Amino acid sequence: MGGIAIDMPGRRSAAASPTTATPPVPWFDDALPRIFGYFLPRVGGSVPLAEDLTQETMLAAVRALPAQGPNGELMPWLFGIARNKLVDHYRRHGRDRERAGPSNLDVEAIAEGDTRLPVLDLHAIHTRDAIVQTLATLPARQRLAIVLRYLDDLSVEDVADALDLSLQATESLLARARRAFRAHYLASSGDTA
Amino acid sequence: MTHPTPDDFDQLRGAFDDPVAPAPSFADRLREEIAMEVTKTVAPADIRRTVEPLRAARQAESVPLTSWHGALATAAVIALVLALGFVTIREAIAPERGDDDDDGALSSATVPANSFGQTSASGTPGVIAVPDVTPSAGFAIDPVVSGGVIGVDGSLPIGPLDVPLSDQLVEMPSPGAPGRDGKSFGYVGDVGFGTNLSQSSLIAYDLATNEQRWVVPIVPRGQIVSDGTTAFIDGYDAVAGEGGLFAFDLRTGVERWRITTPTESGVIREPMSPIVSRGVVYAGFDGSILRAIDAVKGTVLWEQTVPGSDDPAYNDKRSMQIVTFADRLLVVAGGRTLVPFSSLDGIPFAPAILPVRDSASSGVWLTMAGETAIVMISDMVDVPVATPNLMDSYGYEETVIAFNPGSLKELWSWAPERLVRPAIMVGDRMLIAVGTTIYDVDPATGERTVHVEVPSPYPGGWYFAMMRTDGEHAWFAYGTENTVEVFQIGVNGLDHQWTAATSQTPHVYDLVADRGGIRIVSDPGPDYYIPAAANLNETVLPSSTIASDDGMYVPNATPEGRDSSSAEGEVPGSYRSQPTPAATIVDNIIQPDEPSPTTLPDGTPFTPIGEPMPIASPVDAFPILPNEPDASPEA
Repeated sequence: MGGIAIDMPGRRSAAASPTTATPPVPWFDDALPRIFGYFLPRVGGSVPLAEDLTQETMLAAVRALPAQGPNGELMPWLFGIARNKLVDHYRRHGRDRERAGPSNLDVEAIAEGDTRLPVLDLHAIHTRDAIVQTLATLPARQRLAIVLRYLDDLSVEDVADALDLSLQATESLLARARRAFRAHYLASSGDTA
Repeated sequence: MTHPTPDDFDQLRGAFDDPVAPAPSFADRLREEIAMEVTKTVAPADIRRTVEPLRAARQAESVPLTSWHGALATAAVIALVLALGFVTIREAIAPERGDDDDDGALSSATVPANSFGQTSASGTPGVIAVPDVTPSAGFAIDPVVSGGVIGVDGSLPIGPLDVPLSDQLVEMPSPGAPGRDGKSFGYVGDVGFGTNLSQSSLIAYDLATNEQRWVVPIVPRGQIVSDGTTAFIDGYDAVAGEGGLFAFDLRTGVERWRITTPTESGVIREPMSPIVSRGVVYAGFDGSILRAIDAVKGTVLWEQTVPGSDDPAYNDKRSMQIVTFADRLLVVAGGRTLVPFSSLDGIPFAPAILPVRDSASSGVWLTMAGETAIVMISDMVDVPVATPNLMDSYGYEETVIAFNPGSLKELWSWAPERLVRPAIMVGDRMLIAVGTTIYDVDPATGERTVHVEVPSPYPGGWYFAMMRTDGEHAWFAYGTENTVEVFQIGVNGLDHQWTAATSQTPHVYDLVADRGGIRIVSDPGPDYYIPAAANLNETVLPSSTIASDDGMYVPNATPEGRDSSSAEGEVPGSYRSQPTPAATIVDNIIQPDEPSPTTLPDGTPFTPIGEPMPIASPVDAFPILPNEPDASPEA
């Protein structure tokens, strides 16, 4: 599969080295790569989209915060904003993405349990790229369900709340998402379960 | 079908949380954007730091008063004065309004276009061109925090108002409501508004013909604003028994929509301070909700709870003042919280706290002066003080603060004594009256020069003064024991001066642009009206005298035909029986090309621009003219 241009840990380019410019808020330089790094895989590796959402998140934080930051932990609070921005994004644009989503596979024909993901070497760049690419091929709601349930480690109940679905509908959505993810991943990577 | 535990997905948990450096160009761009955003979040303390030393310095120059009762009484009356703010939006010439005859009716030539100096809008036939900006320039709104009622006009007896109000206010005759009791709310284009308080109705009338256009059972509670096709009224429906924001077709009076709001105590509501801009009406509801409303459909586009509107320090005294600039709104809520909003989607930005004390009677006035937001604060001090130059108790601290409206960054502040509000804008100049001095202030920098000294019979100024403008002219008026004094402020000083004798001590509550002239709303006694300058420049006539035999207002009428037999000071409900206090003329025209005189034509000392005004006795400085019932311009 073609690699996706994602800056991964340890692959920080020279151009992306920390700037010497004075940060507008004390937490800017620390938070920026973490927020951007949060969004990039969760939007299927789309750099422009990850930048947009990062920008929205950082600006929302600055507007909501006194200059010294929140009373509690900063990063969990920032990630909370980021997650809301992500969900908002998929709510706004998910339907369009679903219509445009590529899918040559008859996912519905693949029963849950028929396939499983292999043990993944998540330190390998090509594996991470493949996962992000697979996420990009999923319909928006399925992608978001996978992201929230597994990448963000939310409970099914929390996923249901975020997606404004019933628990049953959320479990059903997750089941379809897993089937589709497995099918797409295995088809594209050549791995076998 | 069973759902096996998807252990294969568990390995993804936490695997994609690593930082990733974005492109430097993006990081730099975001850094700049956030830096700009940070400058918009001014901590409240930043504002107070600057103002408090100013106050401390002034306090050091003040002397305590032994009696504070007088200060309280003065404070209450001043607050009431400030509560009388009207918005009057004046037209560019309506296309169909081509009254070319010379029958005395108001012709288009007497109504200068864009007289508020604001951008005008419409070239559409049938649509009156009005400024598409906040009415914060020109005839400004003066919402105040005062005595439990916050309002631009708390004087209307529309319900169980919780503060004592002057009955005389509502008895004033009004040329805006011909032949009826009530008061004028100015006009929009060629449509004038007046109230008939006895019938709880709002009357729209044709300014040119004086004929009633339509009447609705709405008692306006605050200002009337318009986009040229619709009049938006913060009012109370006396028939339906509900208050809210009402939209009426400006031409026909057909109701287009209404948004009513529940009330907690009868019809008492917090003022809405509506403004209209770019097809959207912004108004405050119940003192805490800011709504953007489609001006045509009446649908709520967005709404936001305004931070600070529940400020416990102010309890029931919740006000909301709204001005607009660029794509933002600036809202004062709770009497002292300043909150910027995006006018597009209602997103609030970090607020700032104005340095307003927890006072029982404080006034806050917000306006836009070009690119600068100006807040004037009149704060009653705990211990009334008086400066040596003031004639009486003075229990207020006055503060003028200029902000960047977007960032709320304080640009400058000023703690003058005896501020006369509102400040007015004439072009890009801001005139602020303090005591007997009218300053020309640069809104952006706060640099000020003395524009003119106004002669006053009092050494420290006046009690009840008002300064207004229609964008072309500026007027300043105040009352003495026996006169109403009106000055037209020109580029080089005082262009005109009018004096009208009264048998009572009038308090000038407002100056309302009216048919090309200026109407002086005073109390007690009748209103006074100065028609367009070309017609009756130096004569002040009680508005009630400008009436025909049928009790209707006649533009450009002369006082010859008036009924002078009525008792002075009595104000019945119709023009025919109106009292006719005398008009006395003082012709003090100062020609622009002439050197600045040092005395007025009658020998009264007069101080040109920039020179100190000698403190003189009332008699020397300004003659108190006798009440001469038969006086006429020719006399």
